[in-house]
Amino acid sequence: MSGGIEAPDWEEAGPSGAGSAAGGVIFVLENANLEVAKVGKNYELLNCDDHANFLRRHGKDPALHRPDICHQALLAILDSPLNKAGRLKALYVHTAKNVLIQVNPQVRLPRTFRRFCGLMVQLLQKLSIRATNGPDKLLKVVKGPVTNYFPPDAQRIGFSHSAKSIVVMHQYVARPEVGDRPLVFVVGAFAHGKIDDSYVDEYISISQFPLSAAYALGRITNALEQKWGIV
Amino acid sequence: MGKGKKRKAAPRATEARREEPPNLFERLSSKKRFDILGRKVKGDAKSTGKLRSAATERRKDTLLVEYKQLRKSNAFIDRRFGEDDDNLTADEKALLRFQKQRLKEMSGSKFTLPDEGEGGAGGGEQLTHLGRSLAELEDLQEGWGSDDDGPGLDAELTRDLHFGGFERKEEGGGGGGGEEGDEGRPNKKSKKEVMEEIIAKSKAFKAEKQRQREEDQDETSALDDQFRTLLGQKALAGLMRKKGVKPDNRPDSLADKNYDVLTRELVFEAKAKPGARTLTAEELADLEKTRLEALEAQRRRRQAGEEEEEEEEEGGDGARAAGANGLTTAGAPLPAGGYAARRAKRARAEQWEGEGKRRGGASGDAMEDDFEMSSDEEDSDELSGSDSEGSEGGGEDEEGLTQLERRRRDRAAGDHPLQAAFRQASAKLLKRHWHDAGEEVSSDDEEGSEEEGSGSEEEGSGSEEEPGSGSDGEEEGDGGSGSEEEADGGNDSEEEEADGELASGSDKEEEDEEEEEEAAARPTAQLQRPKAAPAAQPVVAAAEQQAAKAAAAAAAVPPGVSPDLPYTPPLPDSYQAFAKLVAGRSAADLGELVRRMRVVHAASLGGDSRKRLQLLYGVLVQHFACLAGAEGTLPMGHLDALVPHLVELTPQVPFYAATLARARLQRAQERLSEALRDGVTRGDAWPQPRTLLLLKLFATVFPASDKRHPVLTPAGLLACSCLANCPLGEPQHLAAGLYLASLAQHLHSQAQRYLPEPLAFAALLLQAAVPAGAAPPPAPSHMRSLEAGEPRWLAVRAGDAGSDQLPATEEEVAPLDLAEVLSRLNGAGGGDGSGSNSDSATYFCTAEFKTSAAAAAVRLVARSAQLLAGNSALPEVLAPALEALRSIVAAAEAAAAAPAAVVPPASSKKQRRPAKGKGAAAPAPAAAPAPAAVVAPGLAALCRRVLGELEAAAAAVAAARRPLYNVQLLKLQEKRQYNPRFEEDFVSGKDYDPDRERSERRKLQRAVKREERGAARELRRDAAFMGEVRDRDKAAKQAELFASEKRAKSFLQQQEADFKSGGQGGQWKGGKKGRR
Repeated sequence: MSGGIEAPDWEEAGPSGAGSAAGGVIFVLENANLEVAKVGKNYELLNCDDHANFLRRHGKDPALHRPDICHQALLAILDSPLNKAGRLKALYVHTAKNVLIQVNPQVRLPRTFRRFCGLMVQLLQKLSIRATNGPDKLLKVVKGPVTNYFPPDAQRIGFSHSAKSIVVMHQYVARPEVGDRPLVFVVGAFAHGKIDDSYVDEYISISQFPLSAAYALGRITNALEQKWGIV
Repeated sequence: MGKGKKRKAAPRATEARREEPPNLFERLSSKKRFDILGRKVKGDAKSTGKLRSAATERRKDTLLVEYKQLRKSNAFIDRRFGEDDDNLTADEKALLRFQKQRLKEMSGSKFTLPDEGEGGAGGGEQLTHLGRSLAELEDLQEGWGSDDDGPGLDAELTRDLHFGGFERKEEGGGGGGGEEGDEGRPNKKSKKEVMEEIIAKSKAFKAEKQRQREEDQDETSALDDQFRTLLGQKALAGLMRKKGVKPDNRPDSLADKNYDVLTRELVFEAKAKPGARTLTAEELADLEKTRLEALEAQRRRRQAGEEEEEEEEEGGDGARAAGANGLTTAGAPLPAGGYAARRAKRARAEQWEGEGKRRGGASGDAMEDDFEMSSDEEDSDELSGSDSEGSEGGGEDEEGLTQLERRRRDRAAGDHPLQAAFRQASAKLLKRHWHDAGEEVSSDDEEGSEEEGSGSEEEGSGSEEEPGSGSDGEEEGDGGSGSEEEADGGNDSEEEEADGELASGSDKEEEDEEEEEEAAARPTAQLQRPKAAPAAQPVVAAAEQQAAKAAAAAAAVPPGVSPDLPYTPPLPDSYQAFAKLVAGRSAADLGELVRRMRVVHAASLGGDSRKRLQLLYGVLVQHFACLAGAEGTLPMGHLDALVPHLVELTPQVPFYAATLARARLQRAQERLSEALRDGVTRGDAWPQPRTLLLLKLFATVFPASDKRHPVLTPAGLLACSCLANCPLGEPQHLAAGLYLASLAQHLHSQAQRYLPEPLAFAALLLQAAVPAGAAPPPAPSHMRSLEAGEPRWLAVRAGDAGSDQLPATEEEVAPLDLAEVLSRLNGAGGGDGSGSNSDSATYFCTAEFKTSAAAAAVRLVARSAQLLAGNSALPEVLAPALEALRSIVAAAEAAAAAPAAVVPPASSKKQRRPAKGKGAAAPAPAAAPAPAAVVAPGLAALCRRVLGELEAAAAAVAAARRPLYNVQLLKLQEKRQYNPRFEEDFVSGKDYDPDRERSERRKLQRAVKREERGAARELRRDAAFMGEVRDRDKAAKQAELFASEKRAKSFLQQQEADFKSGGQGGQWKGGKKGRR
């Protein structure tokens, strides 16, 4: 005789806790080349196009000064639906000169490179940028190391073409062991080099080819959007 | 640009390298966190040692010099040539001196034109002092300034700082003439005069002071005198208190006073007296048992024919028993609360009723009842009389009342017009009612009617039931529900009676007051109270022997119960024993027997009676099942007699009851599944009436509202599976299904749960009630619906029995008599008596049954709709039923539209509907192919009403629905984005404030702050420097002192040594030698 003393499982179970309590994601752009210099009378963000001679005069390699990579990467993250849906919890830029910048996910970065340079010049001198229409600090230079700002149970994943494992990003983030733990993705914002950070738990490669930072970030955000059903 | 810079930068670098050999220890450089390439910061790297020594030098030149000049009135200026300059030789100095001399002489007044002020008087000569011209001296004075008032004490200074000055200013003279006058004034008052003036002033002041002191003394002494007189008169005694006593100035609080008043009232005006102790359940059970034992003993004596001798004794016994009975009924019942308490209360109500009836229903052994009755009657008359008189004022037992009571009664019997009117009305009513009641049951005795409510329903049914002891099953109405209603009614009246008991029993004053209050609103309540009084009297007032006797007599044998029923029946140890015990007994006997069993073997009496109660419970359930499964008409009376006991016993043996019920349900379920599995028995898989009644019993006994219940959940499942799976093969199946559907709905209605099966079954019945061919077959649905080929069981055909007396209005549709239906079902199912079988079969084909069943289905649908109210799925869930209802209504209307097309079979009231060809073509396995089908107008009206309600509900729900939307297309609220605020070419340190004034102000403020900080720093360092200088001075002085002391000491030591060595200067070694 069915029914009676024991209740079926589905009746005892409460409403399923899907959706609301899912974890967020944190991005770290490592080794970004953001450096301010006084060129002539003006302060400018050094880039390889405009300041090749200046850099050479100061004994620096112009090829390393690529703030445009950082600009594109930031735009790729901040303009993603992932961020629009509020899943981006934090965004950090760690420059080659060991300055750690905390970027508010709600910032609307300048689209043009020139204006981005102006913003960075001011940020690196004033150390914080406020909003035009609000009191919040949108960009802030904070004290390192960046691990201070990670949630305690975060999973830190670094991206490198030279990593041992090549994964398909969609499948990787959909793995059950990823679960709802907060994710930290560390992506390099440089033209040549390698993330050299001790805080990364695991290095993965998401393509057989070396990817630009912006495209790699696009892949990552796409995978996460697919995972969380953000259209 | 690059080139030029490079060129410029290179020499500078070389210069720096050449200039400063960097001492790394002296260099102070600030490390910048955010270094900016190509930016030069002032003070980026500085050598501290150099800077510090420079600062010290600077202070030596300025501060130290000033310090050294401090508190010096004079300054020596060495104007000699070359005194500062060491490079000059003596000759050169002399030469320079000579040159200077010559130059002065040359540029002197000898060859220059004289000044205008000096005139010619100057000439070659000029005034000199110490060999220098006075003009030069004046220059010198000016150069010294005001800070040193040396020998050049000028006139202005004299005027300001010396005595004459201020008096002159008071005069306020401006011109030169005034000045001369002022010059004369101070000379006028000589010093002596001034001194005299001063002396005179001081003398006057002293005299004034002396006078003041004397006045004060006088006043003080006067005050002292006054105070002394006051002390003498003891005028201040009230203001003084002894040393240790603390001031006590609390006011008497109102709360304290109120409290005192209340305390006094409580002490002297006690309003209630403590009543008798409430007995515990065990004590009550024990009392009841003793009472029954006494009665049994009495019965046995009577059997032996010795009742005459025992009359005297019996009175005492009866009284005791009555007391016990009264306590049982009035005191706390066995269970403490909840359902159990309600059931117990209901049982008590029945008992009271029973007692009322018992007095009337005395048959064979009526002698002692008769004997008691007269006295009882008197007593009740007397009591009620006193009660009614009590409200009128001035009772017979006035002397027994206290003063307070009398006063209250007087007040209650006041001559207010309302009170008077009320008294009149109540007296009239009372009189008439008693008169009526007396007439009504004049053949019986008066007491019975007095006990009963005036013309209430229970009385009617009770009086009908009483005489027919054996064959009262038919009158019972519709089974369990009927009995429940009855019990409810009894409950209500009982509660009122209980009120009456308490009021009249505990204290009369209370009752009187209450009567006064309630009377205006409910005169009937007052009417009942005096009637209740006789029954209630024995409860507490045990002293009143007569009333107790009456109650005892009443309790002895309930009406309709045969007196030879044993008072202390043994608990049967098997069903056979029980069956033997109850064989041939009437329903009342059965109930009373079980009651006595329960009383004698109450669980609260301890021992293993609980175990035995379980046995009794099992036996009772089995007896119930046997009775329900019996052939022929159902013994409803017997069943109803068992139900209250089962209801009360269940909480006493809950686990046993649940196990028993589950076992029975399981067996029924197994039987059902087996029957459904088999193709042959499938047609008759519907459960037997016994199962149906057991299901009903379980639904009554266990709480139906639980979400999950070990008994009722399987019971509901069983009912629903029957409804969903059992095929409709015979017309009586409809009845069983209808019963199950209503039962299933009852099980779930309290918890407002939706069950599809009853609704689907009701819809099926409605489809079966549509006259064949009147409507197209129902649209395909996931729910159970009537197949096209199935016969229309409930469609009334013209040839059916009773089809000429179809109900015309909604009210005329007879409710389905379930007892009868079940009895028929038993007959039809049993199939043993062929006569009853065919009788049942024809009953299920009558128009009356069909109409009633269809009406029941309609009501079921309506009830389901009520349960579903507000559910958004209501229109869809009700759709099949609505469709069926519509087709019934449409069929009825079509028949009304074409009234005389075909010859109507009977009266003009009912409508006839010609069968359409399509519907008639369908093969109908039912008995006779109906020539025409009709819809009873009453049923049609009911359908129309319900249809209207349901459509309104469905429309309301449909209107409340919101349109669906695509979540993906919904515009999501995007997180707000903020624009960063930054300048195109930012330079740090530049103020980007658009408000120019504000930025200027801020700049100035910053400068002020900077200056402040700088000044503070300078002062701090100056102080440190000066401290150092002072320390050095002090150390030098100390060192000098020390040196002089040392010098002196050494001199003295020298002397001493000389003295000791005899002028040898300490070189004398004689002593040493001598020692050696």
